[in-house]
Amino acid sequence: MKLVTEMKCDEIQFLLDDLARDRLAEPVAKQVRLHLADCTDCRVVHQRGMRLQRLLALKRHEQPVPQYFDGFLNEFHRRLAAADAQPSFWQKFLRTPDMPLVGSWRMGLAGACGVALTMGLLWMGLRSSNDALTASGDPHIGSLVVYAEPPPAPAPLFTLPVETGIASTAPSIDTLAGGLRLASTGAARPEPSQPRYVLDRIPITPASYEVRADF
Amino acid sequence: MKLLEKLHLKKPATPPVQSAVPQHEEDETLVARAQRGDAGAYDVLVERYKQRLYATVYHMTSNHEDANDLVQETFIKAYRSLNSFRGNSSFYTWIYRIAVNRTINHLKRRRNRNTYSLDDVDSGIQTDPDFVELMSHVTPRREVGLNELHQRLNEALQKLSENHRAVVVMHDIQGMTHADIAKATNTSEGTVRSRLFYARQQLQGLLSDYV
Ligand SMILES: [Zn+2]
Repeated sequence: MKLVTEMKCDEIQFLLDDLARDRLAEPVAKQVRLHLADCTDCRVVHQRGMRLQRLLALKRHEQPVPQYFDGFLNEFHRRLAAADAQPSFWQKFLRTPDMPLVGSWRMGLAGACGVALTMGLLWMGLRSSNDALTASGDPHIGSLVVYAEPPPAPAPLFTLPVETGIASTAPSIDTLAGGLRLASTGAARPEPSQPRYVLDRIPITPASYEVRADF
Repeated sequence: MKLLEKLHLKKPATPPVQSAVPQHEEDETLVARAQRGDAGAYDVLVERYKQRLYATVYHMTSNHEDANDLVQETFIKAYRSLNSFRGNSSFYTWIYRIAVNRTINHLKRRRNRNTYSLDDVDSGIQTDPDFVELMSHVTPRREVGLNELHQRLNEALQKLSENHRAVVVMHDIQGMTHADIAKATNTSEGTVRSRLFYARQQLQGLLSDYV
């Protein structure tokens, strides 16, 4: 255990909040108070901090009159019912308004979207079957354009290893606090002078409002 | 510094936030009933926590209309997610967290569009010793009105980042501990202390007339 007398000023200042709210164990509180008596810098920081906290605490008085909350529950029920009654996006989109022309226009657009989607899928299917035929060796079947040589593949700007990870050509391995790892990827890299990095593990925290302990 | 906290801090005698709720078991019962479809049980929870959530959200937004909307939305969101609440934390902790997250998101969307509500200061402030001392300290130099003071406080708070503001509101206005704030904001105590430190430095500059 580090004695308070050995602490630096910034460490003492870290404890000032707890001193002000009587959250320090008494022997420690006593030591902090002794430090404050001797150290002008910490004393000034402490006094200014206390004045600021007292000033901010005055905001407690800024509150609505108690009657303000009288209709809160009714308003909650009204909003809940309104939210429940709100139609979904597709319900809203396809809902026929009073004007039949607009309603039919919307239905027509939805139908056109459906047809376009179907056509697109059919075209994709046809294209993939053409690719299969071209690959089978007969360039005249199912393809209008035949390359004498296959077109050169564009050089990649950078490559990503299949495994997720932060990989570098740097020889050392460093573990970073945030779950990111710097690791050597060996001598097979094209330009060892320029380290390349690849994302390693990303800690995935489930989105939840729950915490493990109570206040 | 975490070690320091472990070694030097004494345990709080009473949980500061939860202590205001007298019967914790009742919350669990009410939540269980509400999960089974008893809307009346949820109404009790709304009545129980509306003002406390409102206070936090109001101090973060400085706007009563926004605070009202956000707290209403919080209760609706919590009601709809009630079946996913498994009781790992208290209901209040859970809903408080929803409210704080929603408010921070709201503030991020609403940046540079600040409107304050300044007409609701209760009469108790006139007898608050801190206010009396502040007035006696400041007024010899210049006249300071109550509304001006609150306007300056709100303006200064609105200049902080959303996360810094949340921490200042919870700690300096509502008196929550670092540990409770860490739970409410899903961060570490060290992060809470660090945010407080930088937020106060900024506030001391903004409120140099008063501190
Ligand atoms: Zn010092």
